[in-house]
Amino acid sequence: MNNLERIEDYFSGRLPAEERARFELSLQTDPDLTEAVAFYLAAQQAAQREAQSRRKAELDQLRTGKPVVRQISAGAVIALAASIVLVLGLGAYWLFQRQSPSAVMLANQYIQENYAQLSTTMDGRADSLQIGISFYNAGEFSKAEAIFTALVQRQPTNDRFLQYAGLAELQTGQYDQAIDHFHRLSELNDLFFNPGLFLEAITRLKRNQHNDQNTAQTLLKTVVERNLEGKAQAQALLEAF
Amino acid sequence: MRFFVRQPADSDLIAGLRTGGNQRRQSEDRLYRKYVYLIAEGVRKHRLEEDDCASAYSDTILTVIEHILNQRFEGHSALSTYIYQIFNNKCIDLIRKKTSQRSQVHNAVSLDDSLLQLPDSARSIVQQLIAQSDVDRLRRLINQLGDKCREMILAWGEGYSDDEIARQLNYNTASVAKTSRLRCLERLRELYK
Repeated sequence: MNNLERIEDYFSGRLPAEERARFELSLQTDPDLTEAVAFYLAAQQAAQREAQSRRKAELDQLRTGKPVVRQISAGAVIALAASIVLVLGLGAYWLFQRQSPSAVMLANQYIQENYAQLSTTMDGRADSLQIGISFYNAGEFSKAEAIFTALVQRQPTNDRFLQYAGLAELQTGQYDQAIDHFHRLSELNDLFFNPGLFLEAITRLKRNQHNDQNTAQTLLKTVVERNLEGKAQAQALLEAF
Repeated sequence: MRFFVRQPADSDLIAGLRTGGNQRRQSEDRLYRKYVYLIAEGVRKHRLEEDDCASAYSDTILTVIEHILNQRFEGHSALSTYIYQIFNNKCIDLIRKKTSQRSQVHNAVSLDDSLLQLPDSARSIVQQLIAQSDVDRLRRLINQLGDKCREMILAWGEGYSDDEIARQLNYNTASVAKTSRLRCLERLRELYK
């Protein structure tokens, strides 16, 4: 066990009592160990500060491009309501017409290339999952969606069910439900490969409602920054914006 | 627009932060977004520049995250009230700093907990050695480490466990991640000498 490991085990309470006593005794007689302890704590402090500084920059980035909205009193909300309805009415046409062809085109292309077919399992059993996959691969997305959604209800944290339900909904244009499923997939934190964030971004690009483009961009940046599943495609999509 | 965004419940955010891993990171981002309107509030109430308020707000969120993770936030008040109070204090700090031109003295990272573990006889010596060490230089050296080493050291600095670091950086086990991280720390030490 080298010095740094021993020091870390000491501070994290993992040294057995006897070893701990020996460590504390050595601190009084061994200047190298004392110096190593000081380095360990100083390095930890430096790492904390550097990480905080970087995290702060990332959080600041979240604000960039997002409108900073002031909290409005209840009275003002009522007064504003009529204006909002008017603005929305006028804006809706523009929003729904507003397309970012290159990004949406890339999203379509990606879905077509990667999710036109789902891989079947090898055991050949005709269970619900297999039936759903068969429907999906035959282009009967609504039937597939019904099966996958039922599977999600039975096992809400099954990553495969969440992904397939989202994909079937993406194919049938049920973007709200697809976003919900992909979002829940992205929140599963025990997976080696988790395409949840990337698929949510793709779906938002397809839905293309108010703020979807901004949110998709933020999600894609997160995919790239955290080296998540879909990083290469995320980079390509970001360049297309 | 905030009117049309479904905001997560504070209890969900707190649970997400305490879950750790990727979920912690997502909850941090959501927490930031949920109360981002405070920046405008700070601009209006304290007549500060928006960038100053945004910086105070980021500091606030990082402090609150730390308090939630180390259980200092016990839920006696609503999270929104807690955030508002800390943000307000940070804005006032900022005003004082601007008017007195004195830099803020409080240090976000405390060594006290670690130092208190040491026996009395060794504590003051270690404390002196830390005071002599150049933390800013160490920060610069961390950035000179390779990508993977830097990410590991920073994740350690943020308090992620070796298990979480292993998952984030694709190591097979927490033990492998720990060995690699300590090797990175050793490399940092060599650079620092």
